[in-house]
This record gives sequence, structure tokens and C-alpha cells, in this order.
Amino acid sequence: MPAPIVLWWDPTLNDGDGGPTSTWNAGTVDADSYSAVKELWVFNNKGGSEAVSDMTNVFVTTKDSNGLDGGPVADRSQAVVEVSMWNGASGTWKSWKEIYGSSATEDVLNAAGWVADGDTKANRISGMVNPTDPTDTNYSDPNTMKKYAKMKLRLHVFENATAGPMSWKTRVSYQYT
Amino acid sequence: MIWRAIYKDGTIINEYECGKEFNFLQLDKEQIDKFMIIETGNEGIVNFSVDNGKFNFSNLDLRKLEQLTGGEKLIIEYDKDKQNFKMTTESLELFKKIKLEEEAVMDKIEFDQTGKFYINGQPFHLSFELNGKDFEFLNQPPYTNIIHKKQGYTEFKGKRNSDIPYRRDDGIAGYYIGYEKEYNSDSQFKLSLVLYYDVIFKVVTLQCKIWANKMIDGKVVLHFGENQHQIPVTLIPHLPPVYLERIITRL
Repeated sequence: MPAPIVLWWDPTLNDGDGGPTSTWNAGTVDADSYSAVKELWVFNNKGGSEAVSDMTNVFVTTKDSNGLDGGPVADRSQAVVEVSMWNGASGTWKSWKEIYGSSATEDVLNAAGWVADGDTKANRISGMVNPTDPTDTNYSDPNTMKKYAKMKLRLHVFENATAGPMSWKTRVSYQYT
Repeated sequence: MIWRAIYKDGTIINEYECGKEFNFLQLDKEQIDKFMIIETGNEGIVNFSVDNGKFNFSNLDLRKLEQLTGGEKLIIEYDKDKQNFKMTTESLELFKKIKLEEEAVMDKIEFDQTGKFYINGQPFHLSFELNGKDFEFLNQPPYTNIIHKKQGYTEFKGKRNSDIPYRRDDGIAGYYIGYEKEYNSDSQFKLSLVLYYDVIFKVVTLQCKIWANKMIDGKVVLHFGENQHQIPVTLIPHLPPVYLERIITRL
């Protein structure tokens, strides 16, 4: 089965129609404050005409620039990224949770709250061809909702943070066959 | 890395052959004699400079390059559906002719129908020690309930207090290879035995779940090459399996 085709989607682009993105510009964030909230969706095989592998055991965390658990964000020494995940089962946003390195991660849940056979959680994003919404543009379609996850991110910069630029990666990890 | 299956009749099936993927789910698992993940020399060896337009491949066979006349072309085209650039089939065939084909220097993790793993040729298996007796988790074929997955990631990279936009990266962080197996001795064991190969650190880690049908106090013994390592465990039926994670070696 082909590898997942992951698309980061910004629902605020194009006058609210949304669009693909590769940026999250947290901008200037002073010490002892939060950045603006950024909502991002993670799609698998959006509008695809050929099925790809599901993304399974999906979770989000942060890493340093080398992909390790170092500072200043992935070790929570000067700042930390917080995430609020859309819980499709309850139809509500989960409370904010800090994510950093290997020790504090958050499951990425599909928007449908869909738990596949053999899974215990909804942290799977389907790579199917959508029979009911082939272009995956009806975001309330039950099948489309299996193909994406919604999350909100914000950066919390601590009081002791040094001024100036700060590097980190926000990483979504997953398994596939 | 790719997976490779070798059937009992000698047929070799690679995950990719001339750019075409073989679906893992369509493998005839009953026919498998060996299953492996193997470094094919095609990953992590291309350095492209956007400044001068040059590709620097680090896995080409200089003897084969001598035979080229010059002007040969490698064509890369964009696949809009899959959002990636890919060599054309003809170019890929040319590339395979000039790349280094020395399998002996490629990293490889495999297991066969004895249940024994080989990590770059070094044998690895588990046993269970109980009351001074050692029960080896081996030699009860078939080992066809194969586990194989990839650990993928997608991420944003960037800076706070900077106008530099965040950059997106995608990749594979590691590969899983293993199997599930039930063993019958005085007790009944169920084993999920997986080796995880971390691409970044080149580390091989054991990730093992073990169940038993009755309460047992014993030791799981890891055998790697000439070395042994014992881990005391208590197995209790009707409870979740005991999970063991240990670094085995670095490739």
C-alpha cells in the first residue's frame, strides 16, 4: 500500500475555504506570554483517487532542530508548545496540553472519532478513497472526517526565556504498513 | 530501506522493483522462507545543491561510471497526486545499472522459519528460563504472522521571534520487523517480537510483548551473538502482556 500522503491544512486561508500550508508563524512572543492560537488540520490522501495506507498510532510532540529532545522548546526549558485536539467522539475541543520531546505527547484523533477494528483509540487517520465525498471538501461528511484531524497550537514562552529567536519542530508521528 | 521476502521456492519479492511498489498485504505469507528489511543503497545518499544544480550521489560504482559515454540523462518528473518528484522508469533502470551493488555492506535485519533473527548476520533470539530450564522461542514454524511497519513523521521547523517561515519536513524515522507467535511447552506463551530500527541513530531496539496462560515467575533471556542478557518477569494470565524494550545493538 502506498505511503500516506500527508497534507497540513490551514482552515483560515482563502476566506475560510482553507488551503494547504507549510507555515505556522508564531511571530513575536514575549517572555511570560502566549502566541496567538493557530488551528491546523492534518489530512491523509485528501481528494486522492487511489487508496494509501492509514496513518496509525498518530501523535504530536515537539523536537529540537536536530530531531532530538533538546532545548529550548522540546525540553520545556524556555518555552513549550501546547495543543488542543478536536475530539470527534464528543464533538468538543480537548483542554490544552503541553507537548515536548518523547515524554509528553498527545494522541492525534481523527475528526470523526472513528475507532477502527483492532484499535483502542481514534488516533488513526484513514487513507481511503472517499466514496461519499471524493474531493474531501465536505468537512462534515462522516468519511471525510475519518481522513483528517483538527488541532490548535500555541506557544507558551516562559518568564525566564532569553530574548531572540527560538528553534523547534512540531512533529506528527505515525505508523503505516 | 525496503522489505524483502524470499519464498520457499527461491522467489524474491522486493517492496519496490523499478519504482513499482508491491503491496505488503498481498504477500503470500505461507510461502515465505525469510523476511527482511534491507538497506538498498538508495536512501540518504543524494546531495542536491540548488545553487549549482548538481546532484552528488555517494553510492555509484566508479567502475560502471567509466563505461558511460557522457550525456546520459536521469529524468525526474513531478507526481501531482503523490506530491513528490520521482525518476522515470527508464531513468531508474539506468541508475540501478550504475549504483553500487555490494549487498555485503548493506545493513540488514531478517528472520527465517526457525524464528531466529539475524542483525547484519549476528543471530538474535529469546528464550524463557524457568526453574533452571531454558525454553527457546524458536523452531515452531510457521513464522508467518509478520509484523512490518514504518514510523513516519511530518513536521514544521522554524523560529520564534523571527520572520523566517517554518519549513516542512517529512520522512521515515524507523522500521519495525517481527512476528507474533504462540508457543506450547509446559506453559502456553504468546509472543509479539518486534525489532525497531531507528534510522537516525542506527539503533536496533527490541520491543516485545509476552503473555502466558498461567502465572509464571521466570526470566526472559536475550541472546545476541555470543552475549546473553536476562530480564526477570512475572507473567500473569488475564492481565495485559508484559512489555519489554531493550536496545540490542547499533548498526
